[in-house]
Formats: sequence, C-alpha cells, structure tokens
Amino acid sequence: MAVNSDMMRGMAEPVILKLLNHKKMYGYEIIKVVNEKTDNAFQWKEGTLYPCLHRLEADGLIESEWEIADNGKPRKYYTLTKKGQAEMAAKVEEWSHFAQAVNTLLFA
Amino acid sequence: MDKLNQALDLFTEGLRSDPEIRLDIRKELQSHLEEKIAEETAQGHSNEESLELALKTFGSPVEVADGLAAANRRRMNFRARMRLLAGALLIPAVIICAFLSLGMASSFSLLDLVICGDKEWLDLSKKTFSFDLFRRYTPEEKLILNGDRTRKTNFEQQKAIWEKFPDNKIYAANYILSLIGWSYDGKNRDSTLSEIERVSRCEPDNALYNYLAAGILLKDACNQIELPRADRKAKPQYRFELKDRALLDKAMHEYLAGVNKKYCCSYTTDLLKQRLQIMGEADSLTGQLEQMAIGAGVILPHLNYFRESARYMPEYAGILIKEGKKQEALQYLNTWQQFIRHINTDSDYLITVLVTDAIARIDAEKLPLQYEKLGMTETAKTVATESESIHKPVQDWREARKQITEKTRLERGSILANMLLPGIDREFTGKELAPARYAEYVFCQKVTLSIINMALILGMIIAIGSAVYWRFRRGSRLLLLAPPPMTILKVLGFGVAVPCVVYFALSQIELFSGYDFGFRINGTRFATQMGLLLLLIPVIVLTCTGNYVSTRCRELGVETPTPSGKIQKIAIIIGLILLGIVAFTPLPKYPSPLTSTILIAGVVIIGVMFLLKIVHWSAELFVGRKYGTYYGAAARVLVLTLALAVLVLTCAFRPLLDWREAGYIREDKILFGSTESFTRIEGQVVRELKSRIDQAITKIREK
Repeated sequence: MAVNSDMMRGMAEPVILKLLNHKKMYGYEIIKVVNEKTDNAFQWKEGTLYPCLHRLEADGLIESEWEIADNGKPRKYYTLTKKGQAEMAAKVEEWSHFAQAVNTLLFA
Repeated sequence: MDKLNQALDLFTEGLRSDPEIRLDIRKELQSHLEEKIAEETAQGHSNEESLELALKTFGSPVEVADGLAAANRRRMNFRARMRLLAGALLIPAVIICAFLSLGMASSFSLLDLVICGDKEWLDLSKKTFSFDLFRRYTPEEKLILNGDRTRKTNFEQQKAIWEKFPDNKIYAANYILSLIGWSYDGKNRDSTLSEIERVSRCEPDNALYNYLAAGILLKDACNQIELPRADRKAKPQYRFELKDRALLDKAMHEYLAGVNKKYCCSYTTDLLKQRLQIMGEADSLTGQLEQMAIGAGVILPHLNYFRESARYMPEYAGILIKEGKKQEALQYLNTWQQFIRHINTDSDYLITVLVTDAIARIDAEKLPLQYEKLGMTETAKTVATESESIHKPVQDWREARKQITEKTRLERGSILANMLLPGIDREFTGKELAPARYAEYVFCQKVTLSIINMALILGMIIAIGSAVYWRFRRGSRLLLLAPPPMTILKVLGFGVAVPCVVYFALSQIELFSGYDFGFRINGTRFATQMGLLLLLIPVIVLTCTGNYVSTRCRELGVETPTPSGKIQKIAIIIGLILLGIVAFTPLPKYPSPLTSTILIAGVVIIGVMFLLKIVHWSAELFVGRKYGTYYGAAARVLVLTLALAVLVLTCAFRPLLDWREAGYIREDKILFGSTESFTRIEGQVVRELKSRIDQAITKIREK
C-alpha cells in the first residue's frame, strides 16, 4: 500500500539521515534503497528528494562531495556530519515516541 | 536530449542568480535522470519513453524548482553577500598592499643617487614613497630640511633658511658655505666677499668668515705651481707665484683678524643634527642610508680655504722678512698654533681631522725655514718638533690601520661595513659586524617580498582583464566559482605560508642560511634562495588555484582543456628541488665559480621556463575560445586567491621583516645611529683623534 506524500514529508529527513549513517550515498541511490526496503510503499516524487538533501546540507547535518563513479561519470555523494549523527539520533528517538503515541491512540 | 536540457533548466530556474550553484545542482539532477533513463531503457523502453517516465517520477518542475530555490536560498544569499564584500573590500585592500609594497621604491631610488647623482633624491619633502610614509613635515621643517625649493639655485634655496631665521648662526654659516660651495666661481669675488662680510656681522667672534674671505682673496692673489717630480711617488713640491700683492696683503689681514678671534665654527654638524632630528629616528636600513646620504651631502668647501691659508701664510712671512718687516713676519708666524686649534675645534668628520693634520705637516715643513731666516734657530727646531707632535696622533692612527687584518670584515661584514669601515683603525669581531649584516639580509628579503607582491598583483591585473574580456567581449556564460574555505586555506597554506615558513625556519640555522657571512661570500647562494622564493610562491598559488578550478569545472560539466605540459611541470619541480638542495647545503668557505654558475644558471633557466609558461597561460586566458567559461571562471578565482596571497604576504610577513630590521638597526653599535659622522664608529675615531690633537696643542701652549 502506498503512503500518502503529505505523511512522507515529515519522515523524509530522519529517513535520509538514518540511511547516510551507514554509508555515503548519492541521490538516486537513496531513492532506490528506500524503494527496495519499503517495497515501493513510499510514492516519492524523486525530484523532491533534492531540496531535502540541500536543506540538510545547509543546516550542516550532511556534506557533499563529487566523485567519479565506476561508470566514469561524476556523482555527488552525501555523508553524515557529526552534527548530523546527533540530529539523527534525536529524530529517531522523537519518531519512536511519536509512533508509540499514534499507535496507542489508534490501536489501544 | 533537448527535452532533458529544457527540463533541467526548468528545475533549476529559481537558482539563476548563482550560476555555480545552478550548474552544480543541474549536474546532480542530470546525473540522476540519466541513470533513471538508462535503467528504463534497459527494461525495454524506447529512449523517448524512458525520458518521459524519468521526468514523470521526478515530479512537477514548478514544485521541484520552488523546493530547490527555497532549500538553497540561505546559501545563495550568503554567497551574494560574500561576493559584494569581496568586491568592496578585497580590491581596495590589495591596492593598499600594492602601495605599501611600492614603498620599497624608495630603496630603488638609492640607485638614482649612486648612478645619476640625482640631487632631487635628497629632497625628502617631495618623496611619495618615503620610508616614513605617514610623516608629514611642517612648512618650517621642510624649509630647514631642503631650503626653499621654489628658488632656482642651491645656494639661494639655502639662503632662504637664513632669511627666515636671520639671527640663527647655524643657518647663516650654512648659507655662506652653500654660496662658496655652489655659486663662487672666481668671477663674482666682490659680491661673495660682501655677502660674507654681511653675514659675519651676526657673529663677530667667529673666525670662519675671515678665513673664508682670506681663502677667496688668496685664490686671486697668488698661484701655487706644482714642480715636476723626478719620481711619481715623491712628495709634490710647489712654487709660490705672486699675482697681486695688494690682494695678498688684504687676504693675510683677514687671516690675522680670524686668528685673533675667539673661535672658528662652521656649524655643519649642528645643521646635520637638526635635520636628522626633524627626520626622526630611522629604524630601517633605507632610512639609515637616507640619513647617511644627507650626511654625505654636507658640503665642506671651507676646508680647502683653510689649507690655502696655511700654505700661503709662511710664504707671506717670507716676503715680509725680505722686505725687512721682521716683527710683522713674526706676528704671522706665531699664529700657527692658534690657527690649528681653531680648525681642530671645528673638526667633526674624519676628513676635517685629516685637513688639520695636513696643516700641521705644512707647518712642520715650512715654518722652521722662516724662523731660521729670522735667526731664531732654536724656535725653528721647537716649532718643527711641536708641529710634529700635533701630527703624531694621525700618524699613529695611520700606522695602526696598516696593522689591521681585514679578513673578518671582508668575510663577515655587510656591504655597507666594507664601504665605510676600511678607514677605521680597529679590528671588528663577527659579533660586532652581525647586526648590520642581518639588517642587509632582511632588507633584501623585503625587496624580494615586494617583487613577489608585484608579480602577484600583475597576475591579478591579467586575470581581471581576462574575466572582463570573457564576460563582455566574447559574451561567455558568467560563472563565478566560490572556493570553499578549505580550498582557500590550502592555496594560501601551500602557496604562501609553507614556502615562507620553511625559508624562515632555514634562515634561523646558520648552516643552511649562511647569514654568518656577508654577501661577498654568501651573495650568490642568498640570491638563489630569494630567487626560489620568488618562483615558488606564484607557481604554487597558480597551480593550486588552477587545480581547484579544473576539478570544479569538471564536476559542473564545464568543458575544460586537457592538462598539458606534464613533463615540463615535472622538469620545473625537479629543477626547483635540485636548486633548493644546492642553495641550502652548508656553505663552503668561498663559493667556487662552478657552484655560483650552477646556482645562477639554474634560477635563470627555471625562471625563463616559468615565465614562458605564464606568458602561454596568460595568452590562453584570452584566446582559448572553446573553453571561455572555464577561463572566465579561472580568471575570477585567480583574482581572489592572488589578492588573498598579496594580503597575507603584506599583512603577515612584511611587519615581521620590518620588526626584525628595526631590531638589528637598534642592535648595531658601529654603523647606524650617528648624528655627527657617517658612521657611529667614525664619530668615535674623530673624537679620539681630535682630543689627542687638542692635548698636543694644549701641551705646546702650556710650555
């Protein structure tokens, strides 16, 4: 079942931070990983990922670097900064509380 | 792919105001879409279908464009403010740095003095780039320093000082000495004599004016013809020839009137002291040289007149004896001690002491003959012995000078020390010679720094020209790259800080710097070291900047020329390393012609190669049509990095060098800081000789 895009908006940032916590990734790769892991549950408009990435970069939570990929083409890779790691932990904690509260309300 | 490009343009529409960010994001989106298209094509869709699908999943162009513009607004605003700030502050700051760098022009003007003998150089009030940039002289100070420069001739200019202060004895004497030194040509005798008489009224007890009048009259009264010498080394002999007896009487009357006065004072040192006091303490080598030049500019025309009087007085006594005027002749002959005492009291330079000594020797030779003619044999002998005793201090000094071994001074002395100290009867230790030597090294480092700055500024001008050319002339897309702080630090660190810090670190170790020796021994090596610094800084700044621009342009998809001349680059690097090794290897006692040739040839070859590379590269900045965006961007980044390099060099290293130079100038106890002689040590020697001559005269008078 596809998730409503309005619901996605608030979740996008913690999801990106969490993904980048494991390894550096480029934009298209992030989309692919999210789709694979959620079985295309999130109907992301791919173009909206980039404003989100740039916002996080402007806040100093992630940083980017151009690298030449195996296919010889340049790709912009994003990595999590120290500030981003702390923010990611806080966001995950926050989301956990929120999900718990929503679950309590909806399924209790 | 036009459709893809159109879509990318739409997505990045909101980023138009910052081309670098727009290109960067456009490239990122393009990379994403191309990968997506390739994936769709691999699944069996046609190219067009794949593109459609990719754009569809990417989202609405308006929504994406708004999102991207909003997410990057803060960054774009910050960069726009930085650009404004850089434009408003950087260029004026570089202009100030350039002005400070050109301050070294005052040191180059020394060449004018040496080569052209340009008197204007001494006019401090006219200096644009004086060592004391912010010193402003009051009109009165300017007048005392240079006279009234609106007047045509030198003596008239000096006369203006006396006219302004008619009661001042120093300016009165200065005017008369200027009149005689610069204006008197033998034809204007009467007017000159009347000026001397007029000025002497303000100081009736000073014998200077009588001696000057006597000297002028003697020049027309008699001739002194040199007799042919059998041997070139033989002492010259003169024949006295009377031209005008009346003038001779008048001259000798003046002489007698002078001898009977209380003192003789030319005030040359007093005026020099006043002028140096107005100029203030010079804490740089250039300032010290300027002060020495002011000292060297003091004219001493009176010395010649003093010697003339000493030569003719015995001859005149001889004439009087012949005429039977024995008492009158004796009256003249007995004045010799008083005359020498007058001259000795006025001696402040080595040259004046030597003139006093020359007069004593004339007396020793000529006076006994006249006393014998008067039948005063005993007196003749006494006078000979006494005048010899006055001559003894200088004789001893000359003997002492012959014993001096010059090795330490030649090896460890500065250029200035070797110019000014040979006349001194003292051995100097390496420690005594060190401060002036170090000051010279620092001075040369400052000149090198100025040349580096000028080269960097020239590079900036070329870069600005190129940026303007590509923007307006060829209508290339405007791409202003903003190097991240780390890149700027890298350029300045590797390009400026590392070469300077490594050089300064090595210069602290005598073994590598060779500063324990003077330029005579270490000159070639030091020139190579400076040449290396001169090449390394621009080379590294340009290379680091070029590398950044090329990498960034490739990231942004801007067409960049393929790097060329790799072998040439490697050759330059190897050459620089080899030269560095040779330039910093421990110093041999004297440089061999071979090492000197290798060093100089190395710097010249690498310098020429570098210059050719720069010319080629500068030309590329203007003609590389295909890569207009790249060259335009490179030119703009170069303006920034070169400007920052100039700022760092000027603000960090120039004050350091100024501080070190001032320290060495203060530390020196031999050459600098004299207000009465050219050098401090000369002042000391003059004082000692003067005192010994004075003691000899006092001893004679007590007898």
